[in-house]
Amino acid sequence: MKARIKTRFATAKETADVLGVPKSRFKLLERLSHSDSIFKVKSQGDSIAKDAGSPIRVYAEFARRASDSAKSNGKLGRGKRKVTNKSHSSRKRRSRGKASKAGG
Amino acid sequence: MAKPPKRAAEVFLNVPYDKKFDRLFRAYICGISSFGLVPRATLEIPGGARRLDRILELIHSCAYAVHDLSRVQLDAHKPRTPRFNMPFELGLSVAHEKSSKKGKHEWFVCESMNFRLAKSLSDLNGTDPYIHHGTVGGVFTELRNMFVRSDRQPSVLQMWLIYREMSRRLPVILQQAGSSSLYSSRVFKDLCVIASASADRIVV
Repeated sequence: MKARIKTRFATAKETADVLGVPKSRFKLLERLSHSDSIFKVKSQGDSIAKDAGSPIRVYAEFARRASDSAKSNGKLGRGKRKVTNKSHSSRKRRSRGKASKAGG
Repeated sequence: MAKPPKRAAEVFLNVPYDKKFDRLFRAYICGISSFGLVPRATLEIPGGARRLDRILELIHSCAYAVHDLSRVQLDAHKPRTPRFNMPFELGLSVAHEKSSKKGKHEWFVCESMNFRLAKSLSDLNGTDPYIHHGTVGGVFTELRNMFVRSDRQPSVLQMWLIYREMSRRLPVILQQAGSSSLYSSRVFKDLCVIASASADRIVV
C-alpha cells in the first residue's frame, strides 16, 4: 500500500526549522549546498547543458557521462583482476640478456 | 478559496547506527527528502532518563515511520548481542498507529532479504516488508513504492543526484562537525538540510 502525501514539499528552511538548526548554521549550509552544484553547469554553458537542453535531459546526460567516466576509469569490481597488456620479464631473464650481449 | 497545503510531513527514520549502514543511511535521508518530507531520528535526542518519553514524542510528531530491520546480526563487541532498539521502536510505532485516528500515522518495514522478517519477527506475518537488497538503488526504489505525491513525484534518477550532491559535501560537513561518524545529531541535521536544499532544486 502506498502513502499518498498531501502535505507541502519541505524547503530547506522548513527542514532546518523542524530540526532546530540555528539560523546562522542554516545560512552556512545553504551556501554549502549551492556551492559547486552539479547543476551550475547549466548557467556556465557547460557542454552537458548545451548538448542536453531541458533540465530532465541534463540530469540524464549527467548520469550517463558519470557512469561512462566511472567505467573508463577502470574501477575494478570484486573478484576481478587488473589485466595489463604489457608483461614484464623477470630480473633474472633481463640480466641473462645483458650477460649474453656482453659475452657476444 | 482552496486551503493552503499543510506543513511538510515528518518521517521517523528507524535504522541501525552502524558504519556498514552509512550508504543506506544517506540513501534514506536523500530519498525521504526527495519526497519533500523531513527525516527525523532518535539521533536528535540527547541521552538521559527521559529518552524513552522523547522517542515517543518524536514518533507521535511524525506522520510516517520507516523501520529498517535489515541488520539483525549480533554486533562485533563482547558480549555479542543483537540490537533490540529498532524492533522496539517499530512496536511503539505500531501501537501509536493503532491508538490514533486512521491515517494519522503510517509505518513501513524494510528488509534486505526476502522471507527473513517472517523468521526474525513473525508477529508481523501478513505485513509485506519492502526489500531493498542492501543497495542504495534498492532503497530509492522501495521509497517510491511506499510514497506517492500528486505533484513533484521524484524519480530514482533524481534521488541519485541528490545522493551524489550530498556525498560530495559530506567531508566538509564531517570536518565542520569534528566527527568521523554520520551518527551524531549535528551531522544528521546538516545532511537533512543539504538533502532538502538539493531536493527542492532537483525535483521539479
